[in-house]
Amino acid sequence: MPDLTALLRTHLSHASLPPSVEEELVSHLTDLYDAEIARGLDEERALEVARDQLGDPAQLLRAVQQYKEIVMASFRRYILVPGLFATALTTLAGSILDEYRLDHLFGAGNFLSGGRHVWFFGPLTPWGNAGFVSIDLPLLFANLFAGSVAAYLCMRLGGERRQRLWACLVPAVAPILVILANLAELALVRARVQAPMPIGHLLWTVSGYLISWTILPATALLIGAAPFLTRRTEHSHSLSTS
Amino acid sequence: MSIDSNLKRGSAELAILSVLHAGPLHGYEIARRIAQTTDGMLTFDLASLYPLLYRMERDKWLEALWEDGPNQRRRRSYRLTPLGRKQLKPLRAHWQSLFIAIEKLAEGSNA
Repeated sequence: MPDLTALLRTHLSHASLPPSVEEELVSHLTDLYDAEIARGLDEERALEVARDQLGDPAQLLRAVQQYKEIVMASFRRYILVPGLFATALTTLAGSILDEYRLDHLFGAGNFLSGGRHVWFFGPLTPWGNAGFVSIDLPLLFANLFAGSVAAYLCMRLGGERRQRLWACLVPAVAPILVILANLAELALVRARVQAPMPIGHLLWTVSGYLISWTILPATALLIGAAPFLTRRTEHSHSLSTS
Repeated sequence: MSIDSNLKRGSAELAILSVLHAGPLHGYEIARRIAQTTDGMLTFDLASLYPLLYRMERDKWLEALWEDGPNQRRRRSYRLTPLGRKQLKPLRAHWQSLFIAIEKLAEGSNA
């Protein structure tokens, strides 16, 4: 089998193509090439037919622009909308827990402290314990719920499995932003009033943040979404190739 | 846009909607079915097929889904959306009336 990807790239003067567009066009060329071989053409002639079928490169590149618009629309419809809806719902659930003091379900104190268990590790420095892992049960329960909601909504809208996976991880973006803000505060504000933080301490702190506020919540989101990640898309269909 | 390109685009849209009316197909199969059904009168190369498919998908006439095909190769298959299905009837009627009008013109010039 000749390298049809190289054939396509050369035809488009190595212009950058989104991988999925390239995959689709190469798949088309492969089908065409196989059909010509099955019809009895030799490899060289079949390759020539495939090359002829590529058409005007400028027109083909215009298709790429249209494809990018579709990708953006899909991103909004299948990932951003379900993900943000789930984030909003989780925030609301958290506020209700806080407002109505339902946090006793998770432990003593208010929503933020109730059910939160913190373990410190790493060296003790003038800036405190370098590392920590915080397990925040209300947050993890809320994320189980958020993951389910995001993946379910995405599935109902017709999103594919990969899109459901990304949609359920959207609520994990907010903690990442908080971590970045926190790091910026450490670097820009505290460094002015305290001695600069050693890089080792900073790395311990960052890993603590990542485990507590990104990896654990993302795991809860994935567990919540799991029942909807394995299902086929509702409008899924088998290909007709006859 | 010239009359010629409007005609080309309109006929190509009708051809794609018509073959997809029978069921979902991937790009190569769409081109093959159209060529086969029209006895080679209408053919698509990649540069004429995919801009159209992507535009129709963007306009929500079609929806596309990646499917696992044979030989561990993925294919993107297209199917009509309810909006695409709605376009088919008026497009067919439009083209039929256009052909009748052209036929009348041809008959008139032969007379």
